[in-house]
Amino acid sequence: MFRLFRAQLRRDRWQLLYWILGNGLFAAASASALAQEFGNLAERTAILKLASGNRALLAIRGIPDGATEGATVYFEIFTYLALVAALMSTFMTVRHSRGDEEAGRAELIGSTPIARSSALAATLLLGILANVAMVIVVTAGFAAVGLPFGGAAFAGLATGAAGLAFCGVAALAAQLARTSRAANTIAGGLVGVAFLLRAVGDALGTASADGLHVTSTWPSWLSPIGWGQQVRAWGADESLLPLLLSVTLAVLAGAVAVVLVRRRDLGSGLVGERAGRATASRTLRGSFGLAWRLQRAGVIGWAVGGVLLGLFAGGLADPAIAAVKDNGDLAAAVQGLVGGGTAGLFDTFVAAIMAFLGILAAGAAIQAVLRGRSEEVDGHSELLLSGAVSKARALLDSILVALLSIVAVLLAGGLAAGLTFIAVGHPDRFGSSLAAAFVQLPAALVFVAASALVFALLPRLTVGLGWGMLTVGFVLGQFGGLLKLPDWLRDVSPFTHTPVVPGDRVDWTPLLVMAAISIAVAAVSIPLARRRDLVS
Amino acid sequence: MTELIEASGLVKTFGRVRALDGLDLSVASGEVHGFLGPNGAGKSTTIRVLLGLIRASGGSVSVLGLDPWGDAVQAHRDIAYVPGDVNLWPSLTGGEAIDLLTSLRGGAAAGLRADLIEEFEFDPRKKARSYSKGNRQKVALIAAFARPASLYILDEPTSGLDPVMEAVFRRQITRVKKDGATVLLSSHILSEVEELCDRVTIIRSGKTVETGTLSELRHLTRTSFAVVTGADAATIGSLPGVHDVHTQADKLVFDVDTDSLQPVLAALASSGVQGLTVAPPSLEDLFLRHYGADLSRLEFEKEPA
Ligand SMILES: Nc1ncnc2c1ncn2[C@@H]1O[C@H](COP(=O)(O)OP(=O)(O)OP(=O)(O)O)[C@@H](O)[C@H]1O
Ligand SMILES: [Mg+2]
Repeated sequence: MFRLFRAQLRRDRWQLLYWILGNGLFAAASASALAQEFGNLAERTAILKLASGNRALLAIRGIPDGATEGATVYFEIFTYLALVAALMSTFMTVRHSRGDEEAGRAELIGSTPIARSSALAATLLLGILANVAMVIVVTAGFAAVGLPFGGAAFAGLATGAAGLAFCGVAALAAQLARTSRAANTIAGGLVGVAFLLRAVGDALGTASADGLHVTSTWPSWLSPIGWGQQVRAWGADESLLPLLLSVTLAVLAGAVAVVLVRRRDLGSGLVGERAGRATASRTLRGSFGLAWRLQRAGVIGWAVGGVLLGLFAGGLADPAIAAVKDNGDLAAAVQGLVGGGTAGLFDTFVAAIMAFLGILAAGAAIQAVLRGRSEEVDGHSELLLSGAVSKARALLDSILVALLSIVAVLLAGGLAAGLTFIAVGHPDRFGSSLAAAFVQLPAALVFVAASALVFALLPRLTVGLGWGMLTVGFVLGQFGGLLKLPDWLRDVSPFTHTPVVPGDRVDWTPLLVMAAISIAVAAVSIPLARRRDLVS
Repeated sequence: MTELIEASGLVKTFGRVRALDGLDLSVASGEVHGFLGPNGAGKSTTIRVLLGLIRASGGSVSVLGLDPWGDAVQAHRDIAYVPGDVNLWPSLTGGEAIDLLTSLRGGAAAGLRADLIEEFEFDPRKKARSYSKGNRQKVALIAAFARPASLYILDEPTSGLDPVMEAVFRRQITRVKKDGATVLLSSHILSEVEELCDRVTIIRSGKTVETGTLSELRHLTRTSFAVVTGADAATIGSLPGVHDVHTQADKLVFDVDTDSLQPVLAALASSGVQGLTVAPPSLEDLFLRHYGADLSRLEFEKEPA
């Protein structure tokens, strides 16, 4: 087993290093930026009060617990540290379990005289190691910029525990699903659910009289990310106890996964296989039909995420704003900062949530373009391109599917938000909700065009750069202000240019510019794709 | 006769690796052309160039009179291809994959598709991820044969097939040949090549080493003799064209170049032959000679032991 562990570690060491160091760097950079921008207590108190008042901020950040420097940082970024650890753990675990099994590598290993569960055990061990490294690096990141060490260690432990919990969850998902794609969808989807549960629970929390503390409601306690949030590092109620829940989840899920892997056949899942169609439907005959068919399940997954965000925006706006109004001091503070009365509060809430919908749409779109690359690596493109399909046509198909994916996600989110608003008695918000969704389209298009260009020019880097661009765009868009990054750098992210809709003064120019750039870049990429070899 | 595939001086480099190094190949219209060479010789690479999936770094190539890189789509309408590694979409059923692949060339001939599925005893309703290697191969073969093409490019098409299915495959080749199609068949199965191919090209390390009909190639090899005779090894060994002389029990065993058969037979006739076995040059020998100079030397060195 240790030899397997070493082999897995070798294969993954760089990738894991990027995730872990990236997270540590993010921790250190945000903490030092925050120290500069909100150096004194009064400033921090002001933003925390604003957050307790604007529930969208609680949803997309976390819960405040006092105005010390550390506690403010923890409020601002812990959720994302946990998200990164969770995604790292999910992808890593699935890659080594179901991924190996699907690729036939597990068969080679399974034929050697080692126990059937050894490979999974080695993977879980690797997960533990990676998350221990995560704890150390995040702790060091915070401590390095001068935050108290105790809190830094708590923050590190909370991050690692979230990662560990999802190692277990992903190991289990890898037993249930038959393909690594499906396993990643299940486990990655659960990461999303954990984020959303925490967002709901925190957005509906009750604020203390001074607006510096918020107590989450129960949904936060169903989420491994929420458990980490409840550690409240550097806060008044700092405690490691919630992490017992994360560790328990990791142990239970991991143990069930090991039991399953001992009992089931290699290559089998829990879902049985039915006989399929003997002939292809009319829609599958042709390269576009294939591209759509391969992406369909993925698009549905992203759209479901969009629906959840929409429900969230429409359903939580009222209670979140009511929670502010009940608190007289808060209401006054918020009125001074946001303006526009209740309508202004609604607008900022919806716009903040829809910014996330834009990220989902971009993710769905990038995945569609990247599909072209995985088809190439898996040898499917060789079959496709030996028919009367040009490489340019194949890329065009991917781009069209990406476009459809964006529209599907935005429509799902916009409609869900609009219909929920109607249901809760704000029919006037239907149109503005759809607009808030579709204003995200041009930024997502930029990602489609950029990934298509990379696919045409640097095929081997497509996957890394594709997801890397989304990560950078997300960080710059969501944290550019917090990190005090210079404007030119923030302007690199397409998300920065998406105007705030609904709002009073909306500038449409950036949308047109982004759309025009995307179309031009895509138009260049398509003929470029024709000029390169098929590379596996 | 017109040449359907004409490649000369093909070079393909992958970074430092020179996979093709001045390869020549010409396939005439209507023939079944065997394409042989040891592992890593560059067969699959050549085929990918012929399909325009990768671009030759040097040399000239035309397929069906077209430039396979520039006019790939047009050429592919008339080409059926079976890749060396058949990688199917795991979530599609075999039947769906067959229809998808043939649709890219204009759609399967319905009767032909049904016949092939029956002949290959193939269950088209299962998801591709659950197919065995042989069954994956069948998907590619059925898709290739289910719509008539003028050129069939087949890269080790029978790997993984059982002998019964291999026979079905041979019948299909005979059928498309009768219809006037041309076949380029890369294979390691010599009996298959011997039975099906009109001409063969043997390549090694990215270069063509031999091309011609099988009997032309046989000419280049040696016939083995096992003789019970009074003549001693040294006398026989000194004859021109005689190789690897050694004794085995009471027999004298040696190989003779085809060109030197006449004088050797004459010499044997006068030496008092009591027993004689002559084995024709086998294709195996031919390939072993071309596949690896090192290989035959290795065997020679082992023999005294
Ligand atoms: N994409 C690539 N990158 C680098 N080297 C390659 C690539 N494709 C092929 N090669 C190299 O080119 C050479 C020829 O490979 P090719 O696959 O054409 O051999 P082959 O004759 O089909 O062998 P086999 O009988 O095993 O199928 C090999 O040395 C291989 O390693
Ligand atoms: Mg090959």
